[in-house]
Amino acid sequence: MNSLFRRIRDALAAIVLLIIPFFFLNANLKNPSQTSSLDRIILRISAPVQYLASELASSVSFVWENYIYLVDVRREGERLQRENDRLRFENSQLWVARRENERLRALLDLRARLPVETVSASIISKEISPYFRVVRVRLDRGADERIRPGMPVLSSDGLVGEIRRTWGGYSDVVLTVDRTSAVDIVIPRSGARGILRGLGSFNNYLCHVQYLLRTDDVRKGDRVYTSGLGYKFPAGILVGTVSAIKKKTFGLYQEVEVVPAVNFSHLEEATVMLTTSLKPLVEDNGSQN
Amino acid sequence: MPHLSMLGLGCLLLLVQTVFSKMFVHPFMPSLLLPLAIHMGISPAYQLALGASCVFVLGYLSDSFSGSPMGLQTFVLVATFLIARVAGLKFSMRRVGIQFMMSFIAALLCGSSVILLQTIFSNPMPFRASGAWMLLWLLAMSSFSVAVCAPMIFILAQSIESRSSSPSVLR
Repeated sequence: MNSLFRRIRDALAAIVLLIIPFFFLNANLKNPSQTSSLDRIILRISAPVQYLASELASSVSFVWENYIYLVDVRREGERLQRENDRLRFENSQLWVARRENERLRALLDLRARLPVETVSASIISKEISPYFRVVRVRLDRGADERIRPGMPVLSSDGLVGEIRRTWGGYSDVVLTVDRTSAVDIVIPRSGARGILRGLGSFNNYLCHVQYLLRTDDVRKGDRVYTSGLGYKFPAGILVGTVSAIKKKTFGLYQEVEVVPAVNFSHLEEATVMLTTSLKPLVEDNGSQN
Repeated sequence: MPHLSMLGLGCLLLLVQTVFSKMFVHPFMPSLLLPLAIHMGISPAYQLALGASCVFVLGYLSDSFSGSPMGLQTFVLVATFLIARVAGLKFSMRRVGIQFMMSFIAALLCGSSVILLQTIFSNPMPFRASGAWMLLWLLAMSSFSVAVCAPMIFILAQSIESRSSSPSVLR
């Protein structure tokens, strides 16, 4: 009896388990417009089961893709990190090249405006004070390029100084802020004139203007240019900006401090004018006029 | 207990098949559940009703994971199980050669059934005669890949079965 019951049960189970997918298949593959009521009932019954199965498949896929399969993602991440580092390095090199390009273009413009022959030079070393202030700079051009002591040195920002000495292929430059430097200047706004001398301090870049009359109109922020007197420096070269004024109630002169236009700490290139005196040029211009 | 073990093994095989499907070149993607259904059919450790139910669930999951029409793999796997049981394939399936051959034949029949069912239930589409040879080639290669994997699945199923079940007599 038990074996008969078991056989009937097995036969019924086989039939049911074959018929059910058969009807599922029929309902799923049929054209939706041709589904019967039975098909719709089957689809409605199977929908929650299909939803559960698809959710299970999605969950397994999620776990695999976001946790187990991350080996390749990590490798890819490391590769991208290396690529990023390389690109950052290249970017910084390109930025440096661009800055150099901009400086050299400005230097070329300056050379084009100067009335005499010039030679460009790079700063190869800087003498630093204990307060990290540049005291003196050295150029990679020297007597071999016809550079002589006393020749003006300029940059795109303004007056740097003058050549102190040369040997072989190198030159030393005295900066405008050096104690031994002296430049004849003019303040175009008021026409005030004086002599700019470096203070030679070790912890800042400062100059002061001598022989500025107390009655001269000088204001903080006024720009100071070379006057051209003495035929050493060409006229109209920016030297600096007035930063402080001390005007006493007595005496002939006022004390004016000037901050140089050139940032000597960042100076990379300079132009040397290949003449120690502009007098022949000025006299030629005068005779032509 | 043996039924649950086989259900678990089936789910694992389905997961492996789904995950590594990208590594296989079409049509050499094997169906790993087919040898399992054959093994459950010929093994006396599984009752007909419960065994068919397990295969039904695995087939349904296979349809869900693979995106094929619901009921297609289910019907084919249940039919394979029942045919393996009814045909009494108790003769020596321990030899690798016999496992390979029987799996190849079963995969050919299952593949043909799938094509037949889709032909019956889907809308009729134009079919070129030259496509028949391509179809035969795809069927043969797919069956070959199933047959290659079958011995490993049989070994796996037998080892799990020996650990989890007590032998029962098929009546």
